[in-house]
Amino acid sequence: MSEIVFDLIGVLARPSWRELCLDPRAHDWQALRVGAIREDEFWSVELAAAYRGAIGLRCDRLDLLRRLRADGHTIAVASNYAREWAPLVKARMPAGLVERWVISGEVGAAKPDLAFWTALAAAPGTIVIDDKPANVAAAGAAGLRGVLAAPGVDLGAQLARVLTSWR
Amino acid sequence: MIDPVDYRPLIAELGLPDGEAAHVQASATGTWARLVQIRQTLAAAEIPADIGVFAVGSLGRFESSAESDLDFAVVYFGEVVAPGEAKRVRDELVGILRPHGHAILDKTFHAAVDLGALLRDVGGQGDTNEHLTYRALLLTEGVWLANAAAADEVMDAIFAAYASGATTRGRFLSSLQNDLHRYYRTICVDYRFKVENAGKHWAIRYFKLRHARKLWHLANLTVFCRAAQLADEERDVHLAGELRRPPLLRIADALRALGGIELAADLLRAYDGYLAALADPEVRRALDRIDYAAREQDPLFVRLRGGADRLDAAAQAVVRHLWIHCHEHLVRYGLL
Repeated sequence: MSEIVFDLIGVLARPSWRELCLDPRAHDWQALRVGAIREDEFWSVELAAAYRGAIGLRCDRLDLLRRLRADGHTIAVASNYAREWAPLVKARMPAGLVERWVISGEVGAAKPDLAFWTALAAAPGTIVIDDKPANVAAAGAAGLRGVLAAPGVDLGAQLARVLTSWR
Repeated sequence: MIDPVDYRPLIAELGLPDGEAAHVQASATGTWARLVQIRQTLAAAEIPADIGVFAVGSLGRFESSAESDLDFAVVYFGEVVAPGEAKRVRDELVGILRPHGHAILDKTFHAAVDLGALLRDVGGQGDTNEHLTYRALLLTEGVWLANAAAADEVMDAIFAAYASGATTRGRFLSSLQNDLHRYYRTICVDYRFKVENAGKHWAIRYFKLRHARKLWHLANLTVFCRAAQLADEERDVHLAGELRRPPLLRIADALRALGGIELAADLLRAYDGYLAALADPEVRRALDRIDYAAREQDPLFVRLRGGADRLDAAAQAVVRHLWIHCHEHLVRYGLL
């Protein structure tokens, strides 16, 4: 059985920080996501609190993780995410589902850059699920197997097909 | 839409002077501000993880004004959440929002609704107007207000109800297209009931039908025509993504791919006038006073009807383009 890597926002969780901001361009996401600035340099205390209140995990995707774990797969989460937000999501993730976390704000590199995939250190051909086509393509370029989890995709069925073809 | 809706690139692409689509952009900007304010307000509320909270209507289409009601939809997973709990949550959220000035009317979306009820009988005897309304509006103009993760699940489940139909979905997902057609005709007939039987004001409803509803219908028609030209394995993702975008952007995306983007210009111009009118409280009050029998003598009615006629002409130009470039799909699935 193999490791399967999931993106966080847009795949396992919502919302994006952008959806709580009047003008997302006013916030330096490029710096926060690789840990180059602190959260208090990124946005206000009020927005920080609102984001922590709004973030949630998708129950159907947690069920999918449980099924994959039951089939013997290990799960990693690999996400462009602030290091300050990671503890909250890790704490909300049911115990025993996720083996390891690779958070861009903690490793200092973000998708789709090659440095992020190097930090992920996944075996060649590992399945990487992401909601952004650019990240899926970048995973492929890094020797991994990207799967798009966009609206309109039955992710469970898609994954089953990929796993079947992989065996 | 995870970022604010921005029509400025489209307006520039079409070469429209700033003033000709100013209200389209202003209503999108104002809607985003209102959504952000509501999301921040509700972020502190304790809501079970299996309840999704949405705005539909003009907020969901990113075309609201200060005059717009908040069409507030609460959808819960009935196998996990009890109806009483969902009702309590809805009442609590409405109680939080009303003091902030959001007009939440107890009409179509007056109660929390079980997602299972929306999906278990699509097209069957138990499929009510209310269920159809929820499905059509959540898919095409539903934006989350709280519990975004649950809201995503709800929207994916509604789309999957059509896409996973092994026998009935159709290669072009015509099962969904037909239900959206059905909803459009339903609201056209609903106008008749509300005005003839329920004694409601006719003029605003008439202009909404001739603008917002018609544009929504045209957007769906256009997107499905465009999607029919994609590879089978790309179609569902394209449809699910596009149906979440505001109608004008949906139409523009499709027209751009079909070589007719310039046709979006007259749509924007005509729609801009409609949004400007509905954002003006004086105009709304004046519309409520227009006697149907004397409408031809009313300058406001005549002016707004002229705008509706211009939108019709622009829509006809789009349909003529589809007729040429997507003939078979338009006739077989859109018209017949």
